[in-house]
Amino acid sequence: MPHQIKPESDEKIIMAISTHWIKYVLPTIIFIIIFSASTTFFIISGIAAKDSPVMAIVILFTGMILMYLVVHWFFHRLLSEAMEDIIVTTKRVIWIKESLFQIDDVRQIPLTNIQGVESQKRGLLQTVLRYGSLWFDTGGTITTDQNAIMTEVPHPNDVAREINTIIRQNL
Amino acid sequence: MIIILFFGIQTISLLVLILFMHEYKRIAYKHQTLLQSIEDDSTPRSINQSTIIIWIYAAITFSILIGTTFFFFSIITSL
Repeated sequence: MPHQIKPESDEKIIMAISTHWIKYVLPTIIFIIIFSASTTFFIISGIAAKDSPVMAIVILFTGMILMYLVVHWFFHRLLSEAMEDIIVTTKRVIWIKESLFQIDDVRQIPLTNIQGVESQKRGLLQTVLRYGSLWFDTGGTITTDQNAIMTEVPHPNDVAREINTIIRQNL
Repeated sequence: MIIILFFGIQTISLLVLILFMHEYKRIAYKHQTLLQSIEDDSTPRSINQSTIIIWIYAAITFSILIGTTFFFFSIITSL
């Protein structure tokens, strides 16, 4: 079977979470702005239809193409952002990051390799909305190593505490 | 000619929707397989979110398709 992870003996899923909903905010704002702009093309087309039907069709086509482009872009972005999973088991941490036709990443860190997990919340938005990043200390990693950082994790303090507890239990 | 162009754009848009839905289903299946290889009857959180998104996506695309078709033909008939 493709993409199957070989389970280890007595492995159990502790938590399976997705990244924070903040990832949808910026694409949604952009979508609303461009979608509204393309709607005005239809209104103008409706007004122009009485005097100049040819011009009305040109404006309609422009609005329609713009609207389809923004809809497909928006949902491509949304579906790509949605396809992120963070799975913590009794043996490892798995991070699946996928983007439609663009990214296909599966990262696994065995708990035996992790010395500790640090959580970070930076700024007002992250503190209020309770999301942040996790940094996995595997001995040789530095705090800026992107392979050891999970971003936009909901309730990072709780997740870090949970992982650190499992690491201590496995010692 | 203009009618062919209009339906060409609509068809391309529908094809993009189908393509994205197909890719989504492939990724969703992959995530489910990954998780179920560790523990049976477990579902990834990403699937709950993306299922809602895909339905909204289909609804919006079909709304635009129906709306623009109606609008287009009301202009065409006035020509």
